[in-house]
This record gives sequence, C-alpha cells and structure tokens, in this order.
Amino acid sequence: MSDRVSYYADAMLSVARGEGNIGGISNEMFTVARAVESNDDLRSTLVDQRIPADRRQQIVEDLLDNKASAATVGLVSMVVGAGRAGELGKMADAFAAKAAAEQSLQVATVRTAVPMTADQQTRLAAALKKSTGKDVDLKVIVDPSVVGGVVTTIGDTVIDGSVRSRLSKLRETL
Amino acid sequence: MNTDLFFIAAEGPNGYFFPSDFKEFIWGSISFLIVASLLVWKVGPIISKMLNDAQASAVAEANTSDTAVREAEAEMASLKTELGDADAEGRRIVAEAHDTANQLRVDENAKTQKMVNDMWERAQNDVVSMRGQAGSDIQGEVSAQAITAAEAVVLESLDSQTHVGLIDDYINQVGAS
Repeated sequence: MSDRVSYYADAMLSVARGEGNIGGISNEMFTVARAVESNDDLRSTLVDQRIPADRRQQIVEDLLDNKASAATVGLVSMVVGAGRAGELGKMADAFAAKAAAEQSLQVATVRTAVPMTADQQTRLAAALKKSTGKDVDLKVIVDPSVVGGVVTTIGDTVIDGSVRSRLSKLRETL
Repeated sequence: MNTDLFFIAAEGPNGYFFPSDFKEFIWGSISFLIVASLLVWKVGPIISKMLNDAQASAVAEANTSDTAVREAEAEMASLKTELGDADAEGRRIVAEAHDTANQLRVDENAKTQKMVNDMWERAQNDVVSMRGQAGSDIQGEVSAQAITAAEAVVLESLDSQTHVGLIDDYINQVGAS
C-alpha cells in the first residue's frame, strides 16, 4: 500500500468516524469502488484528465444520488476531483481494512455469482469466525466469473469453493 | 733403289765406279749429310713432337672414346635400371590406385549405408513422434470438447436453487473446517 493510498484511507476513516457510521460508509465505498472497477466506460471517464474535474464529480454525484450516504458521495467525489479515480479501489480496500481493524474485525472479501441473502452473509460470517477465530467484516462482490459457489479472501488466505475452480481442476485433470 | 742408282752411275764415262766426279760425290755426300743432319737436328724434333702429339691426341681421343663408351654404357644401364624402376613404379602406382579405388568404393558404400540407416531411423522417429503428437492432439481435442460439454451442462443446471445450495454447502464446509 502506497503512502498516498494510506493517507486517503485515513482521511476516509476520519470522515466515517465523524459521521459515526464507519461500517456503513466502508461498505458503500467498497461497493462503489467495485462498481467503478467493473465498468470500463465509467472508469475511463472518471480517470480522464481531459474532462473537467467538476464534470467528473457531477457524474459521480448523479450516479450515487439516493443510492449512498452523503458522506460516501462526498468521499468518492473528492477522490475523483483529485484525479485519483484510478486508485479508488485500493483506497476503498485500505479504508475497509482500517475500518475493520478499528472495530476489531478482519475484512473478508466474498465473491459469488449471485447476490447472497442477509441470512447467508450472517451464517458465512459466523462460519468464518469459527474457522479463523476472528470476527469478520464481509464485503460481498457479485462476480459472474465465479460461475457458482463462493470465493472468500481473508488477508492472504483464499477459501475457494467456486464452480470456476472446479472446472479449472477438471480441465487440468483432463 | 740406291743400289740401282750406283749401277746406273757405274756405267758413266768417267771410268769410276761412281757415276760422276769423285769430288762431286764427296761434296754431294757432305752436303747431303749436312742437309740430313740439319733435317735430323731441326726438323726431327718437330716431326717427333708432331708424331708424339698426334699419338697423344690419338690416345686421348681413344681414351675419350672409351670414356664416352663407358659413360654411354653406364647411361644405358642407368636408363635400363630407371626403365625397370619406372615399370615397377608404374605397377605400384596402378596397384595403389586400384587399392585406393577399392577403399573409396568401400567407404562410399559404408557412407551410403549409414546415410540410409540414419534416414530410416529419422523417418521412424518422425512417425512415432507424429503418432504421439496426433494422439495428444486428439486427446486434447477430446478433453476440450469434454470440458466444454461439462461447462455447458453445469451452466445449464445452475438455476437459482442450485446457487443457493452451492452457497449453503460452502458455508457449511467453512463452518465445519
């Protein structure tokens, strides 16, 4: 993690702390970052320095209007206006890690092909706590490339129960 | 012949045995002796020398001839020897050329045989390799088709219920580990 990414993450954490909503803002930042990463047109637009900063910020505000908290919209707008939209994902990850650490949690990034229900997320968090011995902050990402099942990443540990990996193993076997 | 001259002179008119005056005879004899002595004294050595020179020249020529003859004979013998040597050398060269030709033929045959053997071995290796490659290609193609079919079957069977089941199974496995 670069110093700049860490500084931005600290700033985001300070804002979230001031808002008294560290977990919520962290989740929203994580979700927005994944959405930007998965949309090539949106990402190239937000990083395009030829487009005036206020225009790019306006795009962010229009997209997130009524879909995220004002603090989240303000943080994303700040990053885009500073011309650092290309690093938004890393900043959101760092922010999530710092926010989880502040709450004595560990970030668990969960990728599924279809959205998980709240019950499934609760049971998965409990299962991960039982498995790792730590409380986890689930960050769920819907990723069709998983095909089916779940891939969980906690720190450097990857628990891969996806259909994609099973098909890959089948391909290697054949 | 001198005797005949004496007899002819004795028939001369002077009444002497000699054909003319005795004084004339004496002076004539003395003159003759003087001329003869001069001839013997002066011309004799010259003639003798000439004869000796001629004899020496003849001897030298004879020696030269003998030497030339001997040299010619030696040359002839040498030529005969060389001719004999040339014949032997010719036979040796012919034999050597024959041996060389035979060796070349043997070497060429061996080289050709080796080349044929190498080509045959390469061809066999190529056949084996191509057969293996063809087998691998077919196996790869079959595997790819099988994987494609398996993926198609899996994707087709992944309805919402299956997704829920896969996630629940995953949660149970994580909790059990």
